[in-house]
Amino acid sequence: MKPINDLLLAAYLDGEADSLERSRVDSALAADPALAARIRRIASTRDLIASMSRPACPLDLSQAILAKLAASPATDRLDRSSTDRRSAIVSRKRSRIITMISTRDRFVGFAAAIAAAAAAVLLIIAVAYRPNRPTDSNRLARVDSASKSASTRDAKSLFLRNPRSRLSAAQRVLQDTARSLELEDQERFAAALAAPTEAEIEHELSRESLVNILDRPASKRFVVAADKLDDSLRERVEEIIRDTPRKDPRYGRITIAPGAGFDPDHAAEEGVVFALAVDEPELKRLEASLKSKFNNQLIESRLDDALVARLAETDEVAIETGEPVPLVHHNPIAIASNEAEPASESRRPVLAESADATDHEASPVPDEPENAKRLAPTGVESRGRSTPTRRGLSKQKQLKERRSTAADSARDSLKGAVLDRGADLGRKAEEIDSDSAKSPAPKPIDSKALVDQPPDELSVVSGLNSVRIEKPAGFGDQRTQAAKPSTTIVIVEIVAASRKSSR
Amino acid sequence: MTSGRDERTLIEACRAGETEAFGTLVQMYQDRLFPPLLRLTGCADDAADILQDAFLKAFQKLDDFHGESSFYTWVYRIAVNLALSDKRRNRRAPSSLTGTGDSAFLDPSDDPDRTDPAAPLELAERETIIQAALLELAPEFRAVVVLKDVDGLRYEQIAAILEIPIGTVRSRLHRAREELRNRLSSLLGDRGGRNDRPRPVAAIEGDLNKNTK
Repeated sequence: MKPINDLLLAAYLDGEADSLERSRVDSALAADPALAARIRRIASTRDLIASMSRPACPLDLSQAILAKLAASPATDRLDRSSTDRRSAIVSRKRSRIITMISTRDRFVGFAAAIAAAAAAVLLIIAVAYRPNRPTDSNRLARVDSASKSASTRDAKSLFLRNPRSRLSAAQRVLQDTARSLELEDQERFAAALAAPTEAEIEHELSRESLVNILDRPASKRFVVAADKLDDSLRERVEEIIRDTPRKDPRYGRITIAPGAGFDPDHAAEEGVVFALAVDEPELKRLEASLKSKFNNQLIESRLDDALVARLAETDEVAIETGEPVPLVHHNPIAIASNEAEPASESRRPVLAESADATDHEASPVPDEPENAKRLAPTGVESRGRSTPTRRGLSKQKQLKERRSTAADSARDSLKGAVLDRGADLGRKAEEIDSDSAKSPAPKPIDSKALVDQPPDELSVVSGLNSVRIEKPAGFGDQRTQAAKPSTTIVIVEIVAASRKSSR
Repeated sequence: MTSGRDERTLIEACRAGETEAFGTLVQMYQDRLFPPLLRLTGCADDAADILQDAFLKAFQKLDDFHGESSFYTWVYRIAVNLALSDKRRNRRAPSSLTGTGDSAFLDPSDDPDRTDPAAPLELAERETIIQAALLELAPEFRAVVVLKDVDGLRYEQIAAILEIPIGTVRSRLHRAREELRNRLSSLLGDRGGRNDRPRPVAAIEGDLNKNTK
């Protein structure tokens, strides 16, 4: 006869044994009184746990939850047509994914061109998952970001396709609306306001810039295990990123809202991801810095493309500028000097000098940091290239404040605000038209142009020192797109220490 | 008006944009969901916070709920996963059990067997010890024993909530109880009448060996 084990006895005790098992235990109990003692032993533990009190929830969570939902302006829209809103979100996500994929395809060629000059590596660092409770603000932001109006999305979509067309269209809408205001057509005014604001334009430009950074084919991933997940941890990692000199000093900071599902292991947690492009020596320095800070808590693994795709889809994006490598004007014949700028004193003046270089002005290359530094604050570059940099949280806050102020003004004088905005956009559109007439290339988004256009500078990497050397006149005739990119995506993700063993 | 409507009707109302209906769903289930979360986290504040997060998440993902399980089971799963994924809470010291407002939960005044004035204190202390032992269990074992012994769920329900096979529920439950038994031997020794006093483990093992021969 098969022995009666404790698992079966527990199931018997819990009323979970099937009829066959029950009859087996019943028979065994009749024959062996010791079995009863074993059952009592299991029961005593079970009953002890079951004796714990079962308090009711101390709060009426329904009120708190409804208050959270009601506090979001998005809830009004939700209440009117939740189903429509949800459908809109789904279609919005789909269209955004499609946009992103096409953008990725488009930029592969550009990545190849850059990689030809310096084996570029894309580094993504994800830090500071917060398993703690989300704050009220990010809860609300979560709801709000999921509830943007269809008209705003349409306008954004238009802008993503062509910033210049978008500005012209917005101008027309606002001008029409201004006229309509004379007829007190509030509905048309509301439609005009739904057109992207300057802050929204910047946001989308940031996203485009981020997609550009993310668009590198290979990937790997680091995990940093940490005991405490808080802002100071994020700041420590960001400090390393900011202070590691790179040829492309930009980096993207992406806030992953709780529930965004960026990482299945942290589905319900907030996270911050940094994305940056580095070459191999820069990567090694960055790794060394991270390891020195986080010791053996750094774990490396592969990163899947879907994860990168989701990063580019994230709403909260900011592009910051870190420490650039020393930039020197150099005779191309004498390229190999790594001794040029030993200390930081040389960096700033050289960069300033670079900014004045007429050679750059004559042949701008999209997404190069030096060009980006000369962008207008609006993020809309005069030649139609859109590569905003140095936009961070503080910048976003300023933009939000400006937007809020603008809203106040609009309340005071609706017509005046609309007319001003229409005129402003009109000027921008005219500038674009004017500059486009002067300088036909490059077009805002044109993969062929990007591939065909060589970088305007070479990067020479030797040991731990990198020196950027400006392209001499006439160098642009050489074509570099044949070179294969050697790119890598790395994620460094900081999680609780106890997770480390499970990876 | 949302009172008196069944779960399905309320969910449909939520989907149609009637946010108030979701409040009714919260009221229907919050008190049933709170105790297991309290025992999983060991802290009333955390339990309430997780429960609120779970409901908010459920609201946001309502379109993902297709009715394969009950809404209660679905939210239960979300809440338990949130509790288990929260390593900070899982590492919380047992002393935090008596966080804000917890003392009210330990009120033993309805225990008719207790006449000793010190009984409430003893009961609270005993509960603290049990909770500490629960928190020392690995989260996956703690979850099973809490869902079974605190919440009284069936193995099948536990398997559905934790998305594990019933066999795994059985084995985890057995291991969790064994571990708790070792950790709570002092309480188990004092508990119950003479007839219920557990036998020494060696004797039990002797019985087991005898049965396997």
